[in-house]
Amino acid sequence: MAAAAYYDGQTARRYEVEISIEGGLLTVQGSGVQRCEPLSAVSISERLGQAPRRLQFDDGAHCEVRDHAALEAMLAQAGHRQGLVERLQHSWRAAALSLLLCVLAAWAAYYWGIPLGAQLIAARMPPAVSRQISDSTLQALDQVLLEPSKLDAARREWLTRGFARLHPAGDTAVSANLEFRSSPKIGPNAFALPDGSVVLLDQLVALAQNDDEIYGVLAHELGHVHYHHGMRLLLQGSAVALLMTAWVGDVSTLLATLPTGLLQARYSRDFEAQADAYAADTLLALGIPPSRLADLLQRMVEQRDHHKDRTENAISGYLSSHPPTHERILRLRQADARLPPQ
Amino acid sequence: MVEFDQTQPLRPEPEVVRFHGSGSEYFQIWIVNLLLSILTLGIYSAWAKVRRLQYFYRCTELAGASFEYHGKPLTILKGRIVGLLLLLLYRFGFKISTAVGVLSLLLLAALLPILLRNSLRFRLYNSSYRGLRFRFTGSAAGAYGVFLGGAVGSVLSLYLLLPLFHKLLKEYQHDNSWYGRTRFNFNASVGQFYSIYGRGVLMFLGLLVLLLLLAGGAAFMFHGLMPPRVAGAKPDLHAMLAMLPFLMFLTFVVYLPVVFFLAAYFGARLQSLIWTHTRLGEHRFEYCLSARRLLWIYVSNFVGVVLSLGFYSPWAMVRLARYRAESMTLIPATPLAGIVADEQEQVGAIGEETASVFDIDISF
Repeated sequence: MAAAAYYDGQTARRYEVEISIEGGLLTVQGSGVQRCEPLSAVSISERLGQAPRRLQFDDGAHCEVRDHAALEAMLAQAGHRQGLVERLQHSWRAAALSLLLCVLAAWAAYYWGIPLGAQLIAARMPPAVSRQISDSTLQALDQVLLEPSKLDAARREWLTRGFARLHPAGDTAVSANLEFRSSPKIGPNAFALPDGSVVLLDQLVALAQNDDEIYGVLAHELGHVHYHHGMRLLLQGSAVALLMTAWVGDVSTLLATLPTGLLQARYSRDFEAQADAYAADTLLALGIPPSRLADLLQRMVEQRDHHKDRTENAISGYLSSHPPTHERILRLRQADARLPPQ
Repeated sequence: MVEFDQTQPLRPEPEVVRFHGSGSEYFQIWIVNLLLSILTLGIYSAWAKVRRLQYFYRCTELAGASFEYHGKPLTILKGRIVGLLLLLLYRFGFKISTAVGVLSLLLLAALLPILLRNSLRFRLYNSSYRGLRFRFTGSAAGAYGVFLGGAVGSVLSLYLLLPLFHKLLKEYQHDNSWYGRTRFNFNASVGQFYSIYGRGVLMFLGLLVLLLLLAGGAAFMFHGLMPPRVAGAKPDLHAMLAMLPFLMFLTFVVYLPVVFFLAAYFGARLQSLIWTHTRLGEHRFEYCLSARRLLWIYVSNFVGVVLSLGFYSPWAMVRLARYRAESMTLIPATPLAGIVADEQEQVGAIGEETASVFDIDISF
């Protein structure tokens, strides 16, 4: 026996009743209500903490029960089994285990799941989509940051021919064309677009002491193209942002975007290392020492450090004395050992 | 001669809403469902949502009876897939091309009012109290007027007409809501909306000036710490990181206080105004949210969620739900037993009629 409130579904009137279960029959009795139904025809809501439970009849009537102990005893006796999730929801041990597994799952998604998913999608992205993304990106950059290149036609022709030599034979994924631009705002740099175009800035050409250094950078960018890094970074960034918004977005969207940037930094660091390894292989195959790329990187770092104020704070000081750039330079120089003897 | 019946007082007692949920109880439900949602790549989250709403509805008690949520997980899942597709279209439309971006925006503008109307309909149809369902009967034309017309009109009027459109939106929403056979109605005036918005904007400007002065001082201090525009090997991650302390400072000193203040002030004042001027048939509501209490709950919840990396949120949700629910009082015009009895007669058929009207629940 358990006290309950009965509502007939046609009216909002409340009937104080007592319910009992015997021989597979649910009996509702009191305040003029007299009802008897087979338990199998009644849908019994799962228990959610101490919230009242509902016994719903086919015709829209229902009972609201707050006496959980009495109802559970009756249901157990009648052989009604609790669902698995229902049981887990009321166990502190299950809660602790779930907490642990949630943290582990987030970790695994960040380290393997998202990169793997982005890799699979990026490799199957229709070329038309990546071409359009690249075109609109370059258009936007041309309006804001980039200017036409001031290199003369012969120099461009020379570099384009050298660039063509960098393409590995039989790799159809890499069919890049070279774009020349100038940008005093960005400084010495080159970058790859998702469709495989590589943009080379005059400032980088000026900083290089020989053409092999430029080819080193271009081979590095071709590495990004080969591994679809541009598209993968775009997809991974979107995935991280989406997940962060789902996780803390209702607290604050800003809170979601701050760590997103930091979380993505690791992804781009991994990609740089991968593109360096690709560049080293390309250069070695052409008999160019990979340290040429390291030389240029070194000069870029020095130029940046030279520009720095002395009043720099501890944080950025730590970051620049401890950037992965040094590791990259070191690794490229070590790759020289793999050059075939002359 | 009228007989005086002492068991049926003419002025019934106001009924205060009670909330019986607890943070630790909800944490157990939440974490198990969160894990299942993660393991199923988000699909189970529709089931998790139904449990969340059922828990919060059932824990809400008015006059000895609790509310109930009847939404079905599969219907919610369907709605979420549509919502996700729209979100992807919106996010990547402009990345693909301007034409696709503009087209997707137009599509969204054309679809959103109907989706929002359907979502209101779904939510109300799936809510019940004492075995009687709520309903929403707003028309599609009305939805285009208040959602699309309101958005465009607010922007075109430089937000000067925003309070008016907000009032029209609430009118559309509440005047078309029913509990059984009884209709809700909304009677706040435009002036009341303008008065709350006006005071809010004035306070916001005052706060902003104060905080910007503070931030300006800080920017001066941080100025020396920023590296010049660097010619880095790769996009200026280091420069960005160097600016991080300043960005964090700006966030915590200017952005967050302003956002919390706006959310608490407008949330408390507007919700109080709206519900205090809503009636269910002859019965009134009184809703007294205090902006200060709400601000305290927002700020402390935020700190809790940040420090716990998100795992405090079940407690945060319960705290907020409790304060919101318990600020609501129903003031019956006739004895509550009487309200209930009056509504008994013709409700049955309506419940059946509406069984097929809802389409999808769009809310994330």
